[in-house]
Amino acid sequence: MTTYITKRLAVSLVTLWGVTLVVFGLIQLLPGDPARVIAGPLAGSAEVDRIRTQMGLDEALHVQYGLFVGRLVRGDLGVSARTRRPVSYEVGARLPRTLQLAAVATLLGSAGGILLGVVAARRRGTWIDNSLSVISVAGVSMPVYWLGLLLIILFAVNLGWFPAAGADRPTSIVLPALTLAAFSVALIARMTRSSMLEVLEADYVRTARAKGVIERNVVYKHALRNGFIPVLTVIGIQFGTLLGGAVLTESVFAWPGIGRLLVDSIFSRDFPTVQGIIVVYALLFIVVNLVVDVLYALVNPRIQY
Amino acid sequence: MRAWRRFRRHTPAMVGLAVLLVFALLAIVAPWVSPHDPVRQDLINSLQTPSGEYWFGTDHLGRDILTRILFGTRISLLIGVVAVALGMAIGIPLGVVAGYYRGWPDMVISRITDILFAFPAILLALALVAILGVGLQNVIVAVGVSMVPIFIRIVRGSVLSIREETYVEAARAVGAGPLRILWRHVLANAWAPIIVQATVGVGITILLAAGIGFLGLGVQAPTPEWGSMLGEGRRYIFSHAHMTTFPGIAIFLAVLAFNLLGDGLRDALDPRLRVMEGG
Repeated sequence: MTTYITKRLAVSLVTLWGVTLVVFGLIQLLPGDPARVIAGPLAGSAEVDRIRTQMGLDEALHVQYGLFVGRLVRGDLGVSARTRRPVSYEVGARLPRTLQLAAVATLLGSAGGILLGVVAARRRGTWIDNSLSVISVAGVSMPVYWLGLLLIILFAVNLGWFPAAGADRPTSIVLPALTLAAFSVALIARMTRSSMLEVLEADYVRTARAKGVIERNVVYKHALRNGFIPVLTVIGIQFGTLLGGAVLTESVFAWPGIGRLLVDSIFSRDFPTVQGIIVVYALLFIVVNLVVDVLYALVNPRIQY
Repeated sequence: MRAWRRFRRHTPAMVGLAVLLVFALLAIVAPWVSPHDPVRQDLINSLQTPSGEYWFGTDHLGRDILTRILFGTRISLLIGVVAVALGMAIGIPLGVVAGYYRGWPDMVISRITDILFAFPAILLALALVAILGVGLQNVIVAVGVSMVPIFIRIVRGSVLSIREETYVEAARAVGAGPLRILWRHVLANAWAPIIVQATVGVGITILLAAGIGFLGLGVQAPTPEWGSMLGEGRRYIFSHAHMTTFPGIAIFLAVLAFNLLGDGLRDALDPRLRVMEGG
């Protein structure tokens, strides 16, 4: 177990190192003078020169890369070209909002998806099962940004139940979280259904039934506990996808997270902030995957490593 | 031809195929059947609700939404198909090399794939747009590159098992060169999952590109593109919801059709692949 976790940790570190290479590579892809771009459209030439010396942009590539990683390790993501505040501050101020949104959406998506998946598996082949499979294909085909607009029209404009935008009220999170959860409900429901169908055929389920355990307990205690393992992985992967989907959802609902900051920063050509957000996103994704893999190993001790 | 028969009996897939054929037909005939001009502004008739003259209504600049959706079909299908082709052109060779040669090429390629997977597709695409700038070409490149890791992983997976097959060993034994083996024997047997992924991938790229367009970072005005039409319409959702309804339906239907078709192809080409569902 310990060796597995060590190995998994090593892979994560290698991936993280690769991420620094990719992000560093992005700077090299920038057209024109990188110092000019990093300083942003508002900076004067003295400012541009200062950034060039400070970031070592005159130095050889490997020296630049060394400096870049050195700054990252110290948590220095540069200075926003728009607000002149440290990028780490800008991102740090908004990150909790994104995490909050993704966490609520994950909870909603998992609860809804597992419930629908179990129901579909128990009623296999009936109209309930069939309509659920239609809903789940529709769910993954739905543009989140359009779903968001539809929910705004229905619940904010017509019914007036929830706010259409912002994050000032406790109920503000409802519509963005529902929007974001829709996609994962569909995927988690599909995964739960196929996993449950497999598990419901297993010997220990037949044994449980034979010894007279009532059906509800067979499904929710014996089967779901084992059928849940592959679902856990999907939920983990979903969390990453949700972070990506949050970019669009946050823009629709003016939710003040890092996804919206990313879009605003691209518009204002604030490259240091764009870069910082990309690093943070990748880091989050790697950590979530690591945690999911370790959890997976913990709940499923049969897996050999 | 058993696969074809299985495919024909798959009702959802046939529905998806029919929808796509209609979209493709509309994309081709758009200039001849469109009642109005897709880009010319007509401010007197702005924000009209759907009527006999304007079936889907008009937008804030008085342009017919139906016409713009018809022309938008061309843009979305173009983005989807070219981006997936780009993703395949980069991803398939890398996947084949990784799966067939294993050893250090596999190590390197698989690590690169892991790294690319550490970025959600939309993030990778937006990062590229931030660098390359907005516009049709750049969106295609950005979305296409974000499809690369999926193709690498799928191709590598199937090549890993195909290389152990007896027919590959036999080809090697009779002295076939590596290129011939890879093309005629390995790749020829790996097409099923690639076709399925490509079909679903066109849907994914359309969704992604329209999302970028929605943010205003994609194809620029006045080109009629479904995502940017939605983005323009969102300012009017409180008063003129029809501006967002129809482009939204168009994106949803196109993506749904590709997903249904992909599911059907998966069932028809390789029933065993169903196990991978949801992954």
